[in-house]
Parts: sequence; C-alpha cells; structure tokens
Amino acid sequence: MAENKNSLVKELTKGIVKENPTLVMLLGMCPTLAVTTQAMNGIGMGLATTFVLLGSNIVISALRKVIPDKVRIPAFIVIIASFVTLIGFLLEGFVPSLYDSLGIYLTLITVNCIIFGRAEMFASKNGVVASALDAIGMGIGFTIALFLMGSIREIIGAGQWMGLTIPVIHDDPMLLFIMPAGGFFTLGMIIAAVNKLSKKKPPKEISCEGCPNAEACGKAGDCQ
Amino acid sequence: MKTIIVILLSAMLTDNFVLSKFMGICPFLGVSKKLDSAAGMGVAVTFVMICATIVTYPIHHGILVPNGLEYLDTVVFILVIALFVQLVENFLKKCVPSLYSSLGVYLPLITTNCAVLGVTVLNIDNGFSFGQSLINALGGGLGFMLALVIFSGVRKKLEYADIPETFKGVPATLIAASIVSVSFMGFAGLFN
Amino acid sequence: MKDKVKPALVLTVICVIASLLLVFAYELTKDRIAEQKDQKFSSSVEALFGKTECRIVDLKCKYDEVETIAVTPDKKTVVQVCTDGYSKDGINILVGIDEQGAVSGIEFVSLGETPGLGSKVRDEADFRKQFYGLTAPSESFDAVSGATFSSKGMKHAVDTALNAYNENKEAILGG
Repeated sequence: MAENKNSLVKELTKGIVKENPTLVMLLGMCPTLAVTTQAMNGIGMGLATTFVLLGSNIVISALRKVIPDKVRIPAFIVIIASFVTLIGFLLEGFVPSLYDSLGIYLTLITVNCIIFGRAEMFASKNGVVASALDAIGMGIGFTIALFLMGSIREIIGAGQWMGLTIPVIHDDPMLLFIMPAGGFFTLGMIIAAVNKLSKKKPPKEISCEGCPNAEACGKAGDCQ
Repeated sequence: MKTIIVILLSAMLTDNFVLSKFMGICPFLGVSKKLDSAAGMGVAVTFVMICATIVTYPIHHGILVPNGLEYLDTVVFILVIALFVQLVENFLKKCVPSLYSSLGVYLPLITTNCAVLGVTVLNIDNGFSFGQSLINALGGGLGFMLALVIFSGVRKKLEYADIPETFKGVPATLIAASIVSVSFMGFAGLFN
Repeated sequence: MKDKVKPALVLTVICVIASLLLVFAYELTKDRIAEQKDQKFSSSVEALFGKTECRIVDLKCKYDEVETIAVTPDKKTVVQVCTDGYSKDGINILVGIDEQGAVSGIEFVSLGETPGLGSKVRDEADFRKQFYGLTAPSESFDAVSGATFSSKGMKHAVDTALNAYNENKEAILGG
C-alpha cells in the first residue's frame, strides 16, 4: 500500500520539475510564447490548460478500453476540443477579462501538444486516478513555466509585475521583450538556465517523446 | 475591405503565422533542420490549410451559424482537420505513392499544428469572405514555409558555430529564432 | 464487417454525446454571459456620468462600428464603438459626450489588444485624456510608442463616435 501511495505522489510531482512539459520536454511552445506578455496571463492560460488537461485525461482514461485504436486520434480530439469549448464558456461568463486577453490562444489549447501528448502517452494506458494526478502535475509545471516567462517579459518589457510598477525600469523598458522576438529569446535563456542548473546533458533537439506523432517523426527521420 | 494583396502579404510577412503569431512552433523548431524537410513540411501545411478552409468555411456559414451553433466551431474544425488529414494520407498512399513518400510523413504532424486550426478560426474571426479566406490560408501557408526555409538556412550555419555547452541545442535555436523574428519586424511598416 | 463498423460507431457516439453536452453547457451559461455584457455596459456608463438613467436610442447609423447610442435625461450621450486595433474588434469603448457635444470621458468595455503593449491605451491614464474636449475628429494625435495599431484604432473609434453624434444630433437629443 505504501508503495502504491508513493507511486501516486510521483505521478503528481513529476510534471512539476523532472518532466516539466515546457522546460524539459519542450512541449506546448505556442501558448508559452504567445500569452506570456504578462505574468497574470501566464497564470490564466496555465490554469485554463490544466482544466482541459484534467478533464480530458480523466475522460480518456475512463474510456480507454472502449475507444478502438483506429479512431483514437479523432476521439481524443473531440474530447479535448469539448473541454476547451467548455472552459471558453466558463471564462466568458465569469472571468471576461481573461477571456479577452487569451483571445484565439484559448481555442488553440485544443492543439496544445501537452494535452495530446499526455492523452496518448499516459491517460490511454493508465487508470483514472493516476491520470488525474498526472494532469494536475503537468498542469502545475506548465503554469509555473508560463508564470516565469510572463514575469520576466513583463518586468523587463513593461516595468510592471502583477499590477505593481517597477520604478526604474518603468520609465524606459525594453519593449522588445513584449514583442514576439523577446518571447523566443526569453524562452531560450530560461531553457539554457534550466540545463545549467540540472547539470545533465542538455536535450539536443526538440524531444519527440511526448509528441503523439512519434512514429511519423521516426519515419521522417528528421523530427530533429 | 482589404484587398487580396494586403491579405496575402500580411499573412506572409507582417503577421507571419510563426514569427508573429507563434503558431506552428513545434514543427518550426523540429523540422527545420534540413532544407528539403522544411520545404516539404511547408508545402504540406499550405495544402492542408487551403483544403481545411474549403471545408470549414461552408460548414461554419452554412450549418453552424443558421442554427446558432457557432460555439461548436472548435470541435467541428479540429475534427474536420483530423479526418481530412487522415483521408489525404490514405489517398496518397494508395494513388500517388511517389508524392506520399516525400510529403505523406509530415501529414500526421499537421493535425496538431496550431497554425492550421489557427487559420480556420482566423478566417471566421476576421469576417473574411470565402475568397478572402482562401487567400489568407495561402498566405499563411506560404509564410509558414518561408519562415521554415529561412530558418533551415540559419540552423545550417549554427551547426558550424562554436556554442557554449549550456546553450547547445534548443536554447541556441530559440535565440536564433528570436533574431529572425526581429528581422521580420522590419516588414511592419509595409501597410498603413 | 464488425471490425469496420465498431470504430466508426464509437466515434459517432462520442461526437454526439460531446455535442449534446456542449449544447447543454451553452444553454446554462449563455444567460450569465449576456448578463456580464450588460453589467459591463452599465458600470461603464456609471463611470462616465455617475448613477444615471439612460435610454437607448433606436437609430440607423451608417457606421457599423457603432454598437449602441444611449442618452441620459440631462442630454449627455454615450456612444459604444467596437473597432479593430491590432486585433480584430480589439477595441470596444464607450465614448461619453456631454451636453455641449464634447468628449468628456472614455471607458473600456473590453480590450483585446496585446497585454503590456497595446493595452497601454487603457492602462496609461493620460492617453485617453488627449481626446477630451474634442467636438470633432482632430487632425493629429499622440500614439503610444510601440502600439501604433492600438493607438490608431482608439483614434478611429473616437472619431467615429463624434461623427455619429454630430450627424444624428437631433435624433439623439430630440427624443
């Protein structure tokens, strides 16, 4: 029993650091770059994604023995897209400011590699409780990464942070950081820092592990 | 009312799907190492974008809107894209094997490509007509291909560069992407 | 045969159930969503002119960016304009026009511009003040650096509001 409990805790925590979806497994890049112009938006997007991830992981895990292999990709997609539409309603009705800030990227949660990846790699092969914990862990890890990105870009690029004004920077911020180029740059620097801190060999290229299309990648021989 | 040229060029340059809108990053970083895979992916994506537009546009305006079901856009569009990609892959495999061997392998990756879903949603959000939507899809795909091809050239150069250990691999790629993005910012003043 | 039918059947069932659930969820939330929009409108009017009644003017205005025109008992007018900034329909504002026909305030119903950049048109308190006192579209204006599209969108919105007001003055104030 103790062993069982331990492994469940592991499912929860692995997504936060060791297998952080954005910073280690390099998934879900699109929203990471797009909505992190403000720390608050990063949190909002992270939580919205966690909601969808949790919902889809649970449902897909519950239905894993029912969904035939041939149609699993369209089935997963429909389930994920439904949860995205659902969180859209909830945000529009209860937190309209976040709904406005996220804009089209809310819809794009549907094709976020993280959600798809976890569905394919984990939820379709594991029990409901483990899948739920996996989702929560990955979601938290993703939110942390977004918050970090958002904070750096907001502080340097706008001289603000979560509603507070930063005195010296505010007068002459480096606007570039709020622009797309700054997004790429900040992410590159953060991943470099993560590599340095983890002291292990840095992943040479984008990891195909979490990508649901790993087989196709292999065929192309050039996902790297 | 925007003219055709404006829509085409803004989708390709000033509002480049990859470098300004951050869509299609995974294949951008993953498949841009070699020129031919970059070009192949670019062509495949453009093709799927145009075809997805052809299918999703009438469904939205003809079926969903008259019934007040616009909120089903997300589910319907992505399902259409996934099924369509599957269909095309099967078709190519059976009927045009030569094309399949060069392009077919990229098709599954396109289903989860933000840019494809993105362009179908943007067509609706921007209120484009059918013709304008097609131009937008064409421009988006070409812009995607442009970004990928340019970047494959950059990455080729990167291979010979002396990069500090911490930055090797993804960080260097991202920083290079940031510089390419800055260069595209130069197009910003193109339209008034 | 069964091999080919079962997958398609399962997929169809999943799609149908998903659609029904979404329709159900939509029905549940749509009132709340509409309520949100009304609330935003009335609280913005309150921010402009204080607690006051306002009557929506039924007007066929030639500008389709003008969403609503409302007028208070003391002849103050509110024009709601929704226009593009950097993003499509990113700027949705209420322009308050006083009884002399001059802009007295601007409130944001929603802003879909780039946070930290385009959003400065709202967050920098001084930006909107340059429009106050105008009775007609001005020649030039100061944009927020780095947020050209958002700034131009704001100017266009204010200009449209003033034009709509000036062209339909009798209809608005007369009733």
